[in-house]
Amino acid sequence: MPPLRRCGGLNKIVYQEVPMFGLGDGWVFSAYMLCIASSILCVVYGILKWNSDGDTVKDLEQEHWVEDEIKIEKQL
Amino acid sequence: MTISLVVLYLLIIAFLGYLGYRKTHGASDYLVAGRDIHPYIMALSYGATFISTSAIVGFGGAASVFGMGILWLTVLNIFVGIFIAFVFFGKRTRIMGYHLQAHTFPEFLGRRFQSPFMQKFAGMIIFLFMPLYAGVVLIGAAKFIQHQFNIDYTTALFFFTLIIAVYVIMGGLKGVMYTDAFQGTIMFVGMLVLLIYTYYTLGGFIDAHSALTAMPVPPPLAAKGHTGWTSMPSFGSEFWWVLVSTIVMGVGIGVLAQPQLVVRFMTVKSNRELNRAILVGGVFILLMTGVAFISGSLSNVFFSKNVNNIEFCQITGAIMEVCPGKKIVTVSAENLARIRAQHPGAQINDEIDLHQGRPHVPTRNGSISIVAAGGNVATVIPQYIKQSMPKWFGLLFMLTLLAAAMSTLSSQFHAMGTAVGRDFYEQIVKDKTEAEERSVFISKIGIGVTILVSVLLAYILPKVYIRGEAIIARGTAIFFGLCAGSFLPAYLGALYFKKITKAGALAGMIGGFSVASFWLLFVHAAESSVIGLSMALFGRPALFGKTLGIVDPMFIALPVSIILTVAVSFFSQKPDAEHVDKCFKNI
Repeated sequence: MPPLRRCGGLNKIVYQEVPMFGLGDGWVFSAYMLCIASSILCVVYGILKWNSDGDTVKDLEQEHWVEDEIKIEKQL
Repeated sequence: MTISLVVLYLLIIAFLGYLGYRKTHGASDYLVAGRDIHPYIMALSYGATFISTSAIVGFGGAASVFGMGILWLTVLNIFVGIFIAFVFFGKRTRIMGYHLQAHTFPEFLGRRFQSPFMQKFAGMIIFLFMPLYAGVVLIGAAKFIQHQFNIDYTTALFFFTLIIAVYVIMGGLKGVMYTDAFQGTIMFVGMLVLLIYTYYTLGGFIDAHSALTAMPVPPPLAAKGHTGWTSMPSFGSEFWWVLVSTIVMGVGIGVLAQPQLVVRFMTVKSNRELNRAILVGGVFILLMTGVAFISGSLSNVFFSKNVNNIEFCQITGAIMEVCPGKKIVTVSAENLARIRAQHPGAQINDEIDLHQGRPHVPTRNGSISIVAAGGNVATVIPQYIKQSMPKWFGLLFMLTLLAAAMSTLSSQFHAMGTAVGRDFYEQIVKDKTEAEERSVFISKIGIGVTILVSVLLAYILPKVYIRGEAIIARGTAIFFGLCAGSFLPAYLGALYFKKITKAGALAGMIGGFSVASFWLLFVHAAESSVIGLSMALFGRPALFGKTLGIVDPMFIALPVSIILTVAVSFFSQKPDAEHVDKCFKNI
């Protein structure tokens, strides 16, 4: 159900339906909603996968790469 | 007060930079620090690099013109720039990067396809075109400082560049992660406050939207396809193409092939860190671009209703302090009535000196944001903050922008410097030992040169694009588009397709780059008319007319690049199976 907006009346308060949160067209409304939905997707994914995907690369290989990286960083 | 706050901020940055520097001076220290990078820090570091003043000031300003349709870019920023980038690109990049011992994005591509030429070519593209992106980031920050302190743009640019240069040279390249996280946190708080304050000032969530929806569209904007600030431009119109092809698609997809971001994937310990970073990153980007775009659009309600009783110039409709003053203005249907009040005989298309020595006549009638900002897109957000928010927020926001600019610029300069030193110089010199020794020196020179070029661009561009085209948003879009057209098919192929060959990847990269460059120089009117090469060679500002002249280069370059990559791969020599197996090990 669309949200309600309180409108002034002389004797009573009137509530008016405001479709799409006051936004002008469905495309923009969708974009607004999808922004939030994408963020929620990221949050849910992050929570569900919080502890999965541990290291899959052998430490030796990693150290080799890191050592090289350090050398370059040091030079820079 | 302002100065002391800025000094305090810079001291904290310097301290964190020093802390990072001290912790990373030894090999094992780096290893530990590298392994212990907290996902919060990784995510904020990625986010702070991703989001610059360009996104906040430039695209926020563009939102005041295009309206909330630009939120599609936020959707792509989060879904493509964070979710897809981390899950489908980041994880593989990290593992493959280890196996290939790659340290830069060009090196990653070059080694994956066993082509030193590819590394040089990619390095060259970064070195030549990233200064444009860095330049517009500088413009964004300098514009804000200019308005916040009421100083000259050139002075603001000079001082800001000086701070950046010192920061980059003093160790910004080493201890970036800590400072990035601190800066990211400031950005987080600053934007959250902006969002709440904007809705609060305009009467709440729904009332603010309804007021924006109810605003009439000025005829000159309507003529370009503008249908309102809370609806999309009419399909196929000039505004639709700019919004959809350049701003939303160009930047939204281009982020996948950004060299300075790809490198970040290779700095974490495991994919688990990437998973955790997605959580923080998704929320962070929503608060950055989402808030900037919503506030930029809603600033129209603020200025046209003149909520804070600001004085506007009766003649130009601009806020008094940013009124173009003695600028010569072309009379259009939109400003005809106002100009006739002062110049009764004025006709449409007349060019008149608005003020002719007359004093400003103040009025309390509001204007839409772009008019209130004196016709300059980059001025909208700085003026909106200044006029609507309390002074303390202006300061907080300035720190937000300083943070955004510094974190982006330091990684840009780093990427450009290594492009020259490691990806280009080291590859062309035969004696590898000598090359390695000198490459540091060359990288530093590269950084110096790119800083100079970026500053020069930041100085010149606002003068060239004087009529208020969204230069910051455009400059960013050009670079993102070039990266997508040149690198994306090869990068995607490198990560997912074992059958993509060296020749195929090269063909796609060179083809995509050539098409994008051609389109920018000769077809896309917004750039080609300013660059002037098309005019000099063919006697017209843009080839192929107006319709194709508004289609973004990426729209053409990316498909061409994809087709070339796939087609050439079919007919060229297959990649070495052993090498491919090594690349895809553990994936």
